This record gives sequence, C-alpha cells and structure tokens, in this order.
Amino acid sequence: MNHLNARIHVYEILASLFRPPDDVSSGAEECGGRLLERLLNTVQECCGISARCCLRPDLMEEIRGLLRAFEEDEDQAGTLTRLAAEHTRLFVNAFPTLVAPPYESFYQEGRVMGKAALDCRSIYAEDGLTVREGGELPDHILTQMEYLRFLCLGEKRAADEGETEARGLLRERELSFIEEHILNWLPEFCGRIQSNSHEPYYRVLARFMKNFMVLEYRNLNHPVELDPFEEVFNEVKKV
Amino acid sequence: MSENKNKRYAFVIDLSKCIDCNACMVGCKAENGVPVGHSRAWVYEHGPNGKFPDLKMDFEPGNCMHCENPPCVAACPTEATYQEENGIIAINPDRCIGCKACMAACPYHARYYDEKKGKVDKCSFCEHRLKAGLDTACVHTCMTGARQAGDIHDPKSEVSKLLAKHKHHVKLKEKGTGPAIYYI
Amino acid sequence: MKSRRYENETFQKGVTRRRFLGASAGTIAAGVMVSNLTGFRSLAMAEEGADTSGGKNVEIPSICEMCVWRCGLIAKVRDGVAYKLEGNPEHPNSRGRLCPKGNAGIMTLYDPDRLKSPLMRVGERGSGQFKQVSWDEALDYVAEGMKKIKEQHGAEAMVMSSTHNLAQLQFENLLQAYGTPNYGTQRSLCFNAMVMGFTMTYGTEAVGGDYPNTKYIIYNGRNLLEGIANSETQDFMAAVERGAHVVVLDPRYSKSAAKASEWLPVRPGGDLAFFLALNHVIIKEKLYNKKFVDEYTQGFDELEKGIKEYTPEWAEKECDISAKKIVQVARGFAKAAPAAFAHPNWRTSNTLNSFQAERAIAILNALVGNWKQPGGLMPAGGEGGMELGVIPQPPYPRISAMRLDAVPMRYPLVPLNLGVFQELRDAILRGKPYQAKGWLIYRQNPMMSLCDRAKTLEAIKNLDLIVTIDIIPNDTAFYSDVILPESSYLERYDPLSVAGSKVFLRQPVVPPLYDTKSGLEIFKLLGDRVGLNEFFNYKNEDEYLNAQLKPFKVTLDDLKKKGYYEVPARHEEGKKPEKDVFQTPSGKIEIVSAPLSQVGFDAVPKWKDLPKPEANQFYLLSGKVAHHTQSSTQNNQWLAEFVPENHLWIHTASASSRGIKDGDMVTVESKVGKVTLKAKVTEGIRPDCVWMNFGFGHKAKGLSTAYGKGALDSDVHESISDRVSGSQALSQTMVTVSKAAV
Repeated sequence: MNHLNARIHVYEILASLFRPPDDVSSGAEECGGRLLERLLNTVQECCGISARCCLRPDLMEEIRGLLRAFEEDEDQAGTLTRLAAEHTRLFVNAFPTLVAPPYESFYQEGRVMGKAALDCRSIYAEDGLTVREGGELPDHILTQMEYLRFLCLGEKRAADEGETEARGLLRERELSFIEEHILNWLPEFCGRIQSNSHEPYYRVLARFMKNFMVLEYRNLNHPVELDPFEEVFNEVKKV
Repeated sequence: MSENKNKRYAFVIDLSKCIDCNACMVGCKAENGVPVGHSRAWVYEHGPNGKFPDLKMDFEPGNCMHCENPPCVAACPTEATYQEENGIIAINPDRCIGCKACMAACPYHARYYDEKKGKVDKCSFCEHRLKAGLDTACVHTCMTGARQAGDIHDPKSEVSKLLAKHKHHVKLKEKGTGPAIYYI
Repeated sequence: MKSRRYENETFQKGVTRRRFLGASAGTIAAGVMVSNLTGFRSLAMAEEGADTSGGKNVEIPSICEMCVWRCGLIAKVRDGVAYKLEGNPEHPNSRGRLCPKGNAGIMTLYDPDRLKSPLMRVGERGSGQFKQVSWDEALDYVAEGMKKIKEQHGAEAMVMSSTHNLAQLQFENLLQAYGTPNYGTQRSLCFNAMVMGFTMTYGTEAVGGDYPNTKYIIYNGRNLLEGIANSETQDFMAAVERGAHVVVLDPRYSKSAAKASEWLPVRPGGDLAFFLALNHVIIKEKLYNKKFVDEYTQGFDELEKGIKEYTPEWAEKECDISAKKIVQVARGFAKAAPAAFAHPNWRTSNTLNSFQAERAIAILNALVGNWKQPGGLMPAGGEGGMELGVIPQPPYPRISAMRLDAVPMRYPLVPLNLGVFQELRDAILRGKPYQAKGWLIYRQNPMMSLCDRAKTLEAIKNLDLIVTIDIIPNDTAFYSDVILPESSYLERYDPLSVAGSKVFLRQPVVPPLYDTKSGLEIFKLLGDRVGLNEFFNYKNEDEYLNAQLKPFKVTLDDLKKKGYYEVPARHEEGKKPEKDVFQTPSGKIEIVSAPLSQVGFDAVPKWKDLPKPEANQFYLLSGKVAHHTQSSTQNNQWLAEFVPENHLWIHTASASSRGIKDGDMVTVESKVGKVTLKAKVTEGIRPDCVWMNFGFGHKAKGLSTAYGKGALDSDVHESISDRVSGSQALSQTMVTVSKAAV
C-alpha cells in the first residue's frame, strides 16, 4: 500500500466513524473492531521511519490498545450497543444538548445550515457533486470526509496516469478545503469528544482524526515530489 | 442615485404602543444575519417604577438613529461609514478596519463589533428592502404598529402624518446629533 | 486563514481537476468506481444540468407552530435555506405580522439539538442512553408493544396523550380506532375552568370580545402582551389606544397590567369574590339589562337571592380590592355596556374557585346583555363551521372500559375531550382502577408540565412502553423507550387548518433536514402496523389533503402556491337567525346551570374559603413571557438570548426581610419539592405572592451546565384538582422562599 492509497482508506474510515457503530448496511465499512484493525494496518503501512511523517507513537499505542481490547472482548455485541449509545449521545441527539455536534456551521454560528454548509455545498457542486437526499448535511463531518476521499480518488487516477500537474491541482484543492473548512472546527470538535466521551474508542479516534488532519495539512503544503511520505516511501523501497 | 434625492428616511416610534415583545429585534436578526449575541435594535424596559400597587412601566424601542450630524461618520478614519443623500447612515464593509472609533463616538451605542467578520455593523434601515418597495423588517413585523419608518419629506407618508399629528421628541437632543428616530 | 483558492481558481484548473473526478468510462481506474461513489453516504454525482444551489429564492406560505395561535406565515427561502419568516397578511390570526417566537422559528428549524432519527433506549430509563434505529425497527417495536398491551391488558391499558396540534385529527383517529378511552390532553392544567364555565352558561366557550367597538374590558389574569395571541394582542393594544377602559386583575404587574387603564392586584382565589360582588352591585343597583335577562337567560331570581351576601364590603376582605373600587368597576362596566365585555380568559388553572369565577364572569356578561352587541361578547371561531372532506372509514369500536382520569366517575361534568390530566397520572401511579401499561405522547411534555414532577417520574416506572413523538429531545423523550422524530413545522404537511372563511395549508418550506416524518405519516404507519389500516385510508399526505379539499373548488397544487383558499360565503350565512338559541339544556343562557345542580354542585356561583399562606409563606404563581412557549422553546438560540432562564419574582419588602437581593439564588420549597433559581426583586407583585415563568429547569440527566438554567415550577406544585372542572389549582401551592445556601 502506498501513501495515497492509505490516505484514501483513512478518509473512508473516518467517514465510517460517524455512522452508528452497529450499522453495517448498504456496503458500508465495518465498524468497531474491524474498523480499528483496518485503521491500524493502514496507518502502520504508510508510516515510515521518519518522525516527521509518523503519527505520534503514543497515539499508535493507544490505537493498538483499543484493538487489543476489542479482540479480547467477550461481549462484542454488548460493546457495540454501548458504542452506539455513545455515538448517539455525541453526534445525534443528547439530553438536553448534543455533546459534539458534527456540523461546521455549529462551531461558526451555533446552528446548522449556516454559511459553512452553503460554502461546502458550492464547493462540492464545482466538482460535480451533490448531497444525496437522505444524506447528511453538506458541512457534516461525514460529508466533508467523503469529499476529501473523493478528491484523493481523483488524485490516485491522476497519479496512475502520471499526470503530475493534475495531481498537484487536486492536492491544492484538498489543502484549500482542509485549511478553509476542516481545520476551522475540527480541533474544537475533536476536543469536545476527547473531553466528554465516556468511551476510549471515541476519544482515541478523535485524537487520531485531529492528528491526521494536521499531518495532511503539513504534507499537502509540500509539492508532491517533495512529499515527505513519498520520500520516505522511496527510501524504504530502496532499502 | 436620483431616486434618493429629496428623500429623508426616518423612524417614528409610538412609545405607548410598544409591548416589549422584541419581535422587531428577532425579525431584524433574521433579515440581516445579525450574529447571536448582538442586536441592531433594542427595547429598553423602564420600570416597574413606583411603589406597589401604584406602578408604571414603559418600553422604549430604538436602533441606529441615522443622525443628521452623525458623530460616527466624523470618527471613521477610512470613510467606511458615510451618510447617504436619503439620510441613511451606511457602512461599506470593504473599507471597515474594525477600529471601533465609530462605536466610541456613537452616544446611542447603536453599533456592535462582529468578531467573525472583524468589522462594525449596525442598523442599515433595511435599505435593501426599501429599494424593493418593502418596509423595514422591524416595522413589518411589529404587531402593534409602534414602529413606523419612511420618508419624512413625503407629506403623504405615514411617518409624516404621525409627525404632523403628534408632539414628538428625540433622544439626546442636547448632543446635536440630529437623530432621525422621532418618539411620539 | 487566508483564502487563496476561490479568488485564484481559474476555469482551466477546474476543468483539469474534474477530468479526474468525474465519470468517464475510459479513465476509470480498476477498483475505483468514482462515477457511482459506492459506499458514499452523503455525496453523489450530480446529474447533468442539475441545480445544486439548493434551490431558487422562493417565498412559501405556511402556518406557524411556535404556539397554538397558528398564524399564517410566508417563509423566505434562499439557496435552500429558510432565512426569514413573515406574517401572511391573508391570515386573520397574524394580519401580516409575527410575534418574537414566530420570527424565531428559523432557529427551531436549524436547532442542532433537534431529533434527527428514530431512537431506542438501550440503557435504564433515565440513563439517557439511546441508539439510532431505522423507522421500520422503531415502528415495529412500538406496534408490537401496543398490540401486546391490547392483547394482555386491554386497549385501555394504553394511554395516549397530546397537546392540541394540526395532526390531532389523526392522533385521535389512532386513539379511537385502537379503542382506548384514555386520552390525556393537558387541558386541565390550562383551561378546563374557562371552557366549562362558559359552556355551562352560554353553551359554548368559543366567545370573544368585539375589540374594535368596545369601551370597557375586564381581564382576570389574561395576559395578552406576554401570553401573546398575535391578532388578539393587536386588538388589545388598539382598544387601549382608542381609550377603552381596560381593567386587569392579576396578583402580578404583568405587561398587560402595565398597559391597562387599571391594575387590580387581586389576591389569588379572591377573583371569585370580586366578580360575585360585581354581579351583586349590578343586580342591587339595577344596572342590568332587564329586557335581555328576561328574554335570553334563566335563573336570574335564584342568582339574585344567592348574591345578596356577596357585598363589596365582604368581597374586599377576600380579594384585597377596595369596596369602593368594586362599585366603581361595576358601575363603569354597566354604564359602558353593551359595549363592554368581561373576557373569558384562557389559562384558568389557578384555584379551586376558578371554575365558579369563570361562571361569575360569564354571568356578568349576560347580566349586561352584551351578547352579539357592538363592543360586547361575540361568538368566536366561525359560525356554521366549515366542513372539510373526510376519508370514509369504519365506525370506531365501542369502548366499555372506564377512563383512568376518573371522568365521569369523580368528575361527572368534565367533557371527555378535556379530561383531568393529573388524575390520569395519579392512576398510572396507583394502578387503580387498573394499571396502565403504555403511554404514547405526541407534541406534549408531561414530564415537565404535570404538577408534582416527582410523582410523574414515579408513575412511569409502572409502564412497559413509553413512546414519544416530538421534534426536540425534551424531558419526556428522555424517559421514553422509543423516540419517533417528527419533522419540524417548517418541514412538513399537516391536515388543513381553518381560520375564518379560509382554509390554510401547512407545507414544507424546505425538505426535512434529517430522517424525520410528519405526524400524518407517523400515525398512518403506526396505525397500519397495529392492524388499523382501514382507519388510515391514505397512502401519503397528498392523498389525505386531497380528501380534505374535496368539498372545495381548489386543487392541492393551487393551495400549495397560494397557501390558502377563501371559501365563498354560503347564502344561508346572510340570513340572521330570528332569536338566539344557546346550546344549553334550556336553550337560554343558564345563570342557574341545570347540569351543575343535577350533579349536586353549586348551581349559581358561591364563594368557598380557600387556604391562605402562613406568615412565612407565599402563593406560588406561574405564567408566561412573550419569548417562550411552555417548555418547547428554551433551546431556540434567538429566543434564549432574551430569556435564557427564569427568575422568581418577589416583592421588595418580602425579599429584604429575607436578606434577598436582586439576582441572588433562592430556594423555593413546598410540601412536594424544592427548586433553586435567581430572584428578581420587584415592586410589581403582591408581597404574599411569588411568580416564575414555566418552562425552564430541564432536568434530564447528563445535563451540561450551559443548559441547567432556571427551575421548574412543576417540581414544586402540589396536585390539587377542582371536583367540578378537573382544573388544576396551580396557584394554591404555598411555598417558603429563602436565600439559597451557597
């Protein structure tokens, strides 16, 4: 797996995080332990030796710890239900107020369908995308993660065809979106999850998401040829 | 803008009719995208004053007075805020640097600082609505008709008729700002 | 963060990008199905030429639901976002204007806390643990539960309760088709006394004043400037402006009292004495309209006899309004009559004397003969009510089980559609005459609105199934097993609403944001699953609405465009009836009420002594502010800005003797509970009363400090019910007030 593939997988996993943990419908990604397994494998594969492009080792250890806990769990069904309840409490409905509303507009204006949602909708439309009926709102974290995954898929096609310039444009697009939207609210969103969640699963994954997006921001700021991941990857291949 | 020549927009507020429901403030908020925590309009509550059971309570709505001699315009270093021919004191957000000099200058505390935009804002007399032939948002929703607004240079306007019929006063007359909210 | 992209993005860049993003058969990489976005939940490829802006700018007419006045509104939508609500000038309840709540409906629509998905409880009741489920799973569960209850305990073991709303028709349809008699409205917490007081006198409670022509109005607690009823609030102020003499009785200096000609700070419960004395003066001084009384009323003689003892001097001691003032009001009212009316009021759940006070008020109107006179008392709510189309369905099953709310056993005169809500709750607690097993709640918050909250929370422990249908996660939803999310009023169709001679439509102004449904749809889906599909003969909302529209010459499409249809006046309406006949047993206005005497209650209003507070106690009163509707709006950002929490109004002297300053936290304690909230020290209330706005103090566990605002009067209210009307005596709870321990 190369770095780009890994990123595609991570965005897919991050989007899946924001669906109920026990929802395995409609070709969706696995959740719970399986999700962690995939995440761990993905992250391990694309993390090179250089400290510059790794996730922090203690975070990696936390993820491994979560996975171990899942593997040793004797009551996986019960755990999934508990996680589903926590998911609802964090992101869907809580009494009397949601812990971590997963909408960018909330962090800008305290409501849903604010300016951020309209901006995101325009951005998606520029790339030929629309929000499905029954889908989440345009500035929902799931939608935003799907958009980044979508851009990375395009980046992959460009990479496969050796179209470096096109790939650069797509990376530029990803960076803009991360800079102008994601990083506007993700730190606070993840912070709320980390401070308030009863479940290590969500706390750790919130930390991961925050770290990953910062890494993305740093890496995308480099032209693709100088992408530290590419550099390390090539080094590793040489060895 | 020739359509603005000879117009003078002003508010006439009938104090006896205000019931302090604040619908004007909410309507304004919706119309003008005013952020939570700020308001372009206000209603002051005076009372209950006196001793039980002989009490009195009054309500006093207000907003930017769109003054004839606006101290805010004088204070603005970038000419972001300016007086239109029709009397409306407008803000050009592109020129506003958020220095808040205008806020300090306004004796009515009619302006607020929008942290998100880094700029100052205030009642715009819903000029976008006036241009479309509509009344201002606050006047439009006021259940009792306490709030009225219009062109006081037009003798047929509601505001002109009210001013002709009733004694009226303005706030802080001694400051010489020449406010264009007339209270009856 | 500097925006660098939007301004610098060239057309060419976009084209290049999209070559690798869009569907293009020749360039699909193996294993990457970009064009159909498999596994993408939110995003999809837009169709060629599709409008992705969210929609053009439109104005859509609909109906408000921020309170029960249901003003017609026009929603302004821009880019698919409703940004402004304005009054519909064609609607008689709004006349083109909206109150602060109506304006703030935008923030109810876009409240991030709104219910978004069907939820099922996974932890203990009260633990706040819910998980998302599909509609099918949720509805199946509820239906199975309801069927099981019916089979094992009888349909009557299922309680269904709802506060009035436009989908009430279908709620009642489900209730009656299912076959339970246990209909829990919240009326007994509100206006049983008024409805019954006037129905027993005039044969109807649908009466109102002719504001434009009136010269004198008496209100008994009705607070139109804070318990806003848009058009009537406008009428109130117009009458005040015109110089009508307006008298407001209220222990508290409400905003209505402030704008009235006179504020009479009546003792709670003493209002009955006041009106008895008014009637006394009017009869004694022969100020009544003898012709009208002779022709249209019965029972005057008995009233005359019974009223002798209720002199103004006697009344002064009970109501704290001077005898001189009582006489003055009586004479003023009678002189202005028939262009004078004593308002029927609205929420009259005050004391055990409230029902008789309403009777006395109704009789006062009758004595001065103001019926259908300019400036007097008028029938309201449209005569010859419009008949909407109905969908044929079988007759309802006969119900033989008795009601849990002791109607009619202990409350022989309370109409079935009012009921006695607090009795219903008590029966759930006691398990007598039988144990209720399930509770379906729609657009109601009994876990907050019922007096003595501790009792309610204890009672629900006896239930196997609690289901809530609502739009926000309120306290009642918190204690439920299943929560079914209804679309907000700005996102749904409801059955048609009649106002005057017009039929109005509520329709979505934006599509539902989340996985929610309208009440119409929910009841049909539930009804079908419970085996009652023959009572729900409509496939969807359009079909239902078309059936309702059948008698009228308008299509649903036209109605959607215009928002309303004006029904042409029938020529019968031009004909004036020869002589007024009232829907009472005698056909006349019943000063002596036959039903009351038959059952052994006081047939003419009589005074009953009420408990008074001890030296260190207060009457606990509750009421409205203009910015909130009961307990449903406290999360609305635009309204919470004005009133983020409630305060306890306490008189200056009462406060200072307790060392309480304005803004201090105080503890309010009754026999059944205690709460803490901030004090508002004011001259505007009787020294023996304290007052708080109902609706705050949401207590669901897991409360974050930001929302633990204020306190709930229901925690402190004792359950005291009037035998005649079932009305709650919410102003008879005595409390002590002290500075809260830090």
